[in-house]
Amino acid sequence: MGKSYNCPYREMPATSNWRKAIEAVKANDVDPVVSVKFGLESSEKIATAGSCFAQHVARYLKQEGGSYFVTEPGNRVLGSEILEEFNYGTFSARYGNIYTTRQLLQLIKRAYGEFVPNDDVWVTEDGFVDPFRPFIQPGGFGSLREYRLDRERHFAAVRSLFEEMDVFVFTLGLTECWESTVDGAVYPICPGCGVGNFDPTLHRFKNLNFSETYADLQSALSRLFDINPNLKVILTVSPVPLVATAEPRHVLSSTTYSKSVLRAVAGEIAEKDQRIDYFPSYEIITGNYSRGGYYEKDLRSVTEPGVNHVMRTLFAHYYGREIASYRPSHKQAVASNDRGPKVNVVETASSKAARVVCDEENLETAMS
Amino acid sequence: MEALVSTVKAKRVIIFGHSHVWALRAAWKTGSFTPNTDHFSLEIPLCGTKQFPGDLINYNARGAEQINAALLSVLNTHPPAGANDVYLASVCQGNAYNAVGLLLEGPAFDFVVPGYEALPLNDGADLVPFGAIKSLIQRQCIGLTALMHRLSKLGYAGIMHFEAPPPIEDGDFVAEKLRQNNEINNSTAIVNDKYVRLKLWLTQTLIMQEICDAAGVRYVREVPATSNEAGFLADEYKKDAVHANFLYGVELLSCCERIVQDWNH
Repeated sequence: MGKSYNCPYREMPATSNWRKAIEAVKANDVDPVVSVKFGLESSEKIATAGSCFAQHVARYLKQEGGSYFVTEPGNRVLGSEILEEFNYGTFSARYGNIYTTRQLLQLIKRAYGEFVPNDDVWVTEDGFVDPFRPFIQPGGFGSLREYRLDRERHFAAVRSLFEEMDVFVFTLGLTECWESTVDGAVYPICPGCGVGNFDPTLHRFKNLNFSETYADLQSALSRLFDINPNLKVILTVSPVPLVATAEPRHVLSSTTYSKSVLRAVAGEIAEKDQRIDYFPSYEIITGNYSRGGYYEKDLRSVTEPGVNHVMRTLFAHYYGREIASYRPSHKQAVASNDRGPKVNVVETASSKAARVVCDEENLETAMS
Repeated sequence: MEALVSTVKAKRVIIFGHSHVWALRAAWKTGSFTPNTDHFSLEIPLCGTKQFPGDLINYNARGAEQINAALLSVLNTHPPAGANDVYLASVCQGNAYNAVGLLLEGPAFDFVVPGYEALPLNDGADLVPFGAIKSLIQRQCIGLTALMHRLSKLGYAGIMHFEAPPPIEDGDFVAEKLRQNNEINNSTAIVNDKYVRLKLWLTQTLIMQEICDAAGVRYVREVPATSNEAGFLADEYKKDAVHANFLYGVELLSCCERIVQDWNH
């Protein structure tokens, strides 16, 4: 067999080559972003939504001078501590975790009065709970009147957000969800797990497949582009594994299935539209180059250096600048590939600062 | 015939607290209030923050709770076991709700108090969660919570806590009094909406009720016939922006006497 001189891979950039892009690069310097479809200006209003990981994006935008857009900030009489406790500013509006593409689509429809779920309110001993943001308010709402008024104002804030945001960063988190048997309304968490009551005649498990996830996201984004034609969208996939699966299979297999579907849908949707970009935070955290070092001991929570790697990559490509919290110490935070898993040695932010509100974690408590 | 010796044990009430106690002391010192029976007496040794300075509860180097030194001194003068039945009456921390929202210092806010949903709501104001407002006021009452628990263990014949009077309806009156007393020197300061002030007071009453219930302390929410139909302090009892006058003190002391006379051990 003679030598080959015209192999097309020879002309490809280093980023296409595992040995050059991964093996030869310090783990901390791995950058899987080859190009972005658009840049961002500090003045552009960025809204975030999605799973727990989306909150890290919000946190960095706040601390790094990005324009984190919040239309439901709460009244300052409450002070920062109570505002945080009641989830003001945790998300761009007080919608809580949006884990599935169907949840996003239904939120848009609910905010514009196009869908009114049959499941209106959960009454608990402590107060009234919104089935679609069950952990948004510690102790629930004090009265039915307060709940209804708050939801009305919340939807107004969601509409303002969708109409005025310049950039929408959506982090896809799960395919598994629970829906109402009455009208298909999707809950962020299984009723009865931490709050509410599970009733098999009213609630059923649903694992959204590729087609369903794709169709929901496509519809949601089309609706957002109708509302806000100049909108730019960045899609990411949460690297956080499932707390538990309702499928009759191992949670690891379910995690792989869910994340594969979400990653494929995000890629497919972004591929077809110049206004939509995919950002590989999932790859940065889960990539084997870090030897699992971007996960905490539970192998689920993402470490602060991991989040920092994601965010400095995002800032470098979209804003064209380094982030202030990328201090030199970070450069040693993730060891180079040949040094093994000494990766989570540097925690630059306190765990409190990095705290994320994750409704899904209530499953953990409910199961124990 | 031998003289009858009364077997009725005298009841003495020791009243202490912050600024709202002035109305009581004025009623007492001026003779506007006189007890209905000789078996009832009272003392008001701690009145206002000058006589009753510092936190209600302090913590020593080992983190142990200690009752405020001035109050402890009074308690030593009036121990629970004596010739009389001794009752304690707290009128502490009545202005926690005013500290939160007497003046509007930012964007307008409003909220819904459970049980009082019919009260008017300002549509143009931010709706804040009742739970958040409650939490805000509760944080100012941590010392009172600890104090009530400590006092309830000391063996007094009874302990009661009197709520502060409800807010004054007329916002202009409140603003004028604040300016007169140089409590606001900014002519642009805005006194909060009257219903927001009333809701803050109602929230405080719910908190105080919980604190007292948990400590086994009798909570007296309102002095009868001192509020108007809408629930604000009736005009004849107004003194300044947040306090009631001596007439209110008379009503409160009369109420206190009735409670103590009827106290069911």
